[in-house]
Amino acid sequence: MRSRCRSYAAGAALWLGAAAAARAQAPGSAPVTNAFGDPASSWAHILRHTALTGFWILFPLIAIAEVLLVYVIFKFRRRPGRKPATFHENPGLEIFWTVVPLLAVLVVGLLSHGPLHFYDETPPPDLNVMVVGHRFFWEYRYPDYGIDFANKDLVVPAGRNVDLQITSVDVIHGFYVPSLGIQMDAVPGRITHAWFNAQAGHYEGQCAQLCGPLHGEMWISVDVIPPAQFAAWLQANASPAPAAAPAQPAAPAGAKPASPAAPARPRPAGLAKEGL
Amino acid sequence: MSSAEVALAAAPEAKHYTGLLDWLTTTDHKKIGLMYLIFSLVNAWVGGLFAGMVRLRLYDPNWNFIKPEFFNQMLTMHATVMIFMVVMPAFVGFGNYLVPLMIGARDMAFPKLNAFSFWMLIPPSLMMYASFFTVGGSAQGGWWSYPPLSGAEFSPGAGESLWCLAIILLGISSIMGAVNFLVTIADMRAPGMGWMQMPLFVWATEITAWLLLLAVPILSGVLVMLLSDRIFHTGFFQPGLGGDPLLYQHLFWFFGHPEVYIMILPAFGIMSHVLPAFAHKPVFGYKGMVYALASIGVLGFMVWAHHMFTSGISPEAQIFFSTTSLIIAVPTGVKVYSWLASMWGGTIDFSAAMKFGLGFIGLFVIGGLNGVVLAIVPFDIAVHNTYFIVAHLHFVLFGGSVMGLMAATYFWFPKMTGRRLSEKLGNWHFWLFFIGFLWVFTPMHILGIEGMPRRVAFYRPEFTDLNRFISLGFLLLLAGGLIFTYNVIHSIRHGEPTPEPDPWKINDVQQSLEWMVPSPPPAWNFDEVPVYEEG
Repeated sequence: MRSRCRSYAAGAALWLGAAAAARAQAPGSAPVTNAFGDPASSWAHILRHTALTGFWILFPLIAIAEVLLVYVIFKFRRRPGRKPATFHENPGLEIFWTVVPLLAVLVVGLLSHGPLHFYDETPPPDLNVMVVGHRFFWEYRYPDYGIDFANKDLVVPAGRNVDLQITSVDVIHGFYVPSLGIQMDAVPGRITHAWFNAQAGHYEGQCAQLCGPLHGEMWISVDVIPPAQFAAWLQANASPAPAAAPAQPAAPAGAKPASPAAPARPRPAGLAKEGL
Repeated sequence: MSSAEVALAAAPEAKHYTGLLDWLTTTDHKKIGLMYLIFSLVNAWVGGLFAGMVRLRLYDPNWNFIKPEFFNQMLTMHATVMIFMVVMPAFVGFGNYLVPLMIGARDMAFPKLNAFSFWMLIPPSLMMYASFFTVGGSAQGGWWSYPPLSGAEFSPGAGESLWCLAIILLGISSIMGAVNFLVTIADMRAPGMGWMQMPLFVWATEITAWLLLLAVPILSGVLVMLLSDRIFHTGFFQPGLGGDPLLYQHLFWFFGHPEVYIMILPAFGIMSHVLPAFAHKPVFGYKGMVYALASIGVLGFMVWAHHMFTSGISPEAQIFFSTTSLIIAVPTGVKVYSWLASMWGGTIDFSAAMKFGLGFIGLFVIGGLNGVVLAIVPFDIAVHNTYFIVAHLHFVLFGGSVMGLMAATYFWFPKMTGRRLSEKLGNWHFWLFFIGFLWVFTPMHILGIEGMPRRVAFYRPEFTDLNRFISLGFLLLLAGGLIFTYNVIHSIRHGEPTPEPDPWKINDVQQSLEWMVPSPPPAWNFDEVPVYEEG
């Protein structure tokens, strides 16, 4: 009896929240964090390490150029009595500054293969979430639990593999949560993909692909909570009865509202799920 | 009789206009080049003021007199104008003026086609400006114009269609210009000037012309497909009709990446003239420079999907395009080191032209660093479509292309007009641009790393201070632009006269033919067609 009251109350609150949600959201209360300052997922740590390693390998090639530029400016200004040099070739030097940078960039390229493999080989998911971009809000569906809502935080369990299937109902959007190291376009007619395994916390993001006038107001908030708390949240929000399903959020003219049970827009035959 | 008199005598029926009618009907490559440059300068003001609108809104996103719809129009048209109506025409203008002179020719291979290429710019430019007065305003889906946003459903007004049509027409001008340059350079070099004796600016123009010829038709094609989707409701890019938005992206960027090399290679050519001239040395490593230009041209066609690492392309594609994008840094580095070696041991005069040349190296190299790290896919995933990219593109397009154009202007203005630009004003211009540029674009790296996306009219409160700081820096760039424009307009009539062929006194260290004719050159360029001899 008590749990039924709780779930009705939660359902009502959800309904009210969704119905009252403005088309334009406000950014979350927490500041946005990023993968370099606050890596919050297994992938974000690898991303950060790969990027910094690559940067420090490439940086000297550039720094040398800048230092030499400053040196040239000071050392070789016109001074009375000094004649300019006349040399205009040096094959050994030219080979050196072709081969060494080539080796450096190839090393950097090779270094990113392992990390890319980690990113692209999705581990078995503990939770499947469908992320649907709309003009101008994000809808989240948990197909295994019959949950579907929009304009609210994406809630996921900490330390678990969360698999995101991302798409859009109208134009291309960009699902971007810097601290999780996630960025993937939401493309209508395609399902793109990202995954993460994050530590508990609250992570902010924003739509990263121009989608219209309110592109700058498509805020993203991800709530990563301990698994026990997440189980409770699931209990409170999973709604088997269609009558208790949250109302569709007010959608601007032109967007096609998606029903919770409807599959993603049928994909043309022969189009790869992810491909060139 | 000189060969010039022979040539003139052979055209007894040729009409000779004066004044405005002369400029409207001329097929003289020098006048056409100057018209391209004036066209470019005028549109630079328009594109710059559009950027000002963007920075104004970003000073305080609560200022709703710049509405988000208008903001999107401003950012779209800022990029469109700067790319298609400022940088490209400016480099074509310098190419037009200088290439025939540098190869010892009297004009381009097809002078009438040359005039047509210039005048072809005018209707599409008017279309772009007219589009602001249509219902809904101008195109506002970004300068890449990705569908479905740019499709009929989400960009219902005429503005987007006018944009597509205008770009197609501008593309026709570019393709005709490219054909003209390729034939001119192949066929009209002075006797004795082989391919490996051409000045490096001519080489840069040659490679750029190949890129234009091969890439621009792809853009025209993809925009015809987009227009077809918009007007005839075909389904090239509409998922509901069996199409794929990613097809657009591949086709667009197959043009779009060579396009950025089209906008930088001529600047590389200019650097190879300006830097050695004011260091009073010959350019270092001519052969390496040529091979580098050619490699960049070829590799430039193999990197396009690095703009699509987060679009949903396969891991194999990510690795391929990451590798090619890393490799293309190598020939670019060869050029930078060669420019440094070109100045090494020289005696440097810090004229305004040289300041801009040195500023080019300092800034473009940073753009090269933030560019090459973007080829690392994990890093790109973190900062794609953020202000880090805005920083990168401006370091290479402003710190690179625009600084190169400024250097070219100060260097060749005496040749084109017979007068010097004010060095004092040039000094002010340089420092305002250099400091203003760093002020505006360096902090954008931080905004990007911290997760602020681009093209947003709203940002998180914690980004306010940096955005305001950046917006204030715009004023320095504005001041620099005003001083430059005044310098140009004033010096055409009142600059210090320099009628001599070699006002910079560089003919002892370099052999470029434009410095062997009077300033400005006569209509027929050379009294006698020069015979080129080594040494």
